[in-house]
Amino acid sequence: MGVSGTNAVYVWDLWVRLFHWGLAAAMALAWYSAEQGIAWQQVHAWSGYAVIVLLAFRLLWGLFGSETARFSQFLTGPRRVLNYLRHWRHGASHSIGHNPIGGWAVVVLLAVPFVQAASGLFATDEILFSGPLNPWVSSSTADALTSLHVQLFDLVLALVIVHVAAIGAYRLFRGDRLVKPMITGYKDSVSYQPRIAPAHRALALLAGVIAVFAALLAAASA
Amino acid sequence: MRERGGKLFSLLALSSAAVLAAGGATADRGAGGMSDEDKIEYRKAVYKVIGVNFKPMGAMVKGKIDYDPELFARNAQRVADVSEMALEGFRGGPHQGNTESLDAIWEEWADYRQGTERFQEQAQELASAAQGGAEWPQLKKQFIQVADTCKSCHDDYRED
Repeated sequence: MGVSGTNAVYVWDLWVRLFHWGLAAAMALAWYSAEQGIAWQQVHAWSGYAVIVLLAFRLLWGLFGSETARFSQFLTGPRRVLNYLRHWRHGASHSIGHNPIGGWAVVVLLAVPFVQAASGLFATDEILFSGPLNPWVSSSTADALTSLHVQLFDLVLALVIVHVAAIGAYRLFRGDRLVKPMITGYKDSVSYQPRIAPAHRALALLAGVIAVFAALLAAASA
Repeated sequence: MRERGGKLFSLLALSSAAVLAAGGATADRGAGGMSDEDKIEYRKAVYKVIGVNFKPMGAMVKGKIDYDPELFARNAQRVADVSEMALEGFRGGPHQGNTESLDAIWEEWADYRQGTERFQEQAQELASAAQGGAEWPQLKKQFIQVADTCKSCHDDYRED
């Protein structure tokens, strides 16, 4: 593990961390509310909206955000991924942000929940509630997207399990503590301080995402 | 209920006839009984009638249209009546054809039948409450109870 806590470096900005735990909370609430019957349908819908807004924000933050949040910083070619995996167990290198395999895990962990949440916008329970964009598609398309929405849950759950297991494996086999930096933002034994994007940029992007999404819902219900 | 008596009677007569017909089909399956496609078509029709009558009540519950006590009570009674007709379409399955019914229905028939009975009870309770002039918030609550009985069977016994 690292040298000591004295050279702790701020690697995860507030927005990456808020996004991460917000997404976890929204997805947990979406799962819980889906199991509670029809009276919880509104909670399910709003937790899904939260998932979509968070993911859309994260996509933009991956383009315009802090250094460790950017896709260009953490997405690498297959050679580097394989090389990283080959020396995974005894690899001395500590990534500044996401490591080569973790970076691609981020892509999957953003993409699958996005498809899951977006398909919910078109879904219908064929009893009482339909997603806000359901009127925009034919009923056969809505049926297909409803099936996707229901069936994709198993994959989402599997990904969450792999994600948590991987964090456990890093702790167990490499002594890397990955949870604490995602809470505090600080990581030990990192060679330099990555560039942190200004807060007003995050707030502007978040406001923009919410405005666009709200306009979409308003257009659908008009 | 009073001036609906005639309609209700004919609906009951119709449902009894359907029950008898379907029951007969179970008794002598394969000998002039309903074909698999007939059964599937029959139960789909039953649920279609339920769905069409359910929808305006749902719109009222969600506040999309104004609460119309008379329409609500009428449709609640229809749903309750027709709910009694559904199970006959499932007897003797699984049936081959264009259906989203899962084989689990017949593998766990007792549970499936209980689910249908819960639906019937809750639907009848809604109809009685609506005709008895129950308060709107109470009716909305009961409506959700009915809808939940739909959902629980859909979750377990209908193809996703």
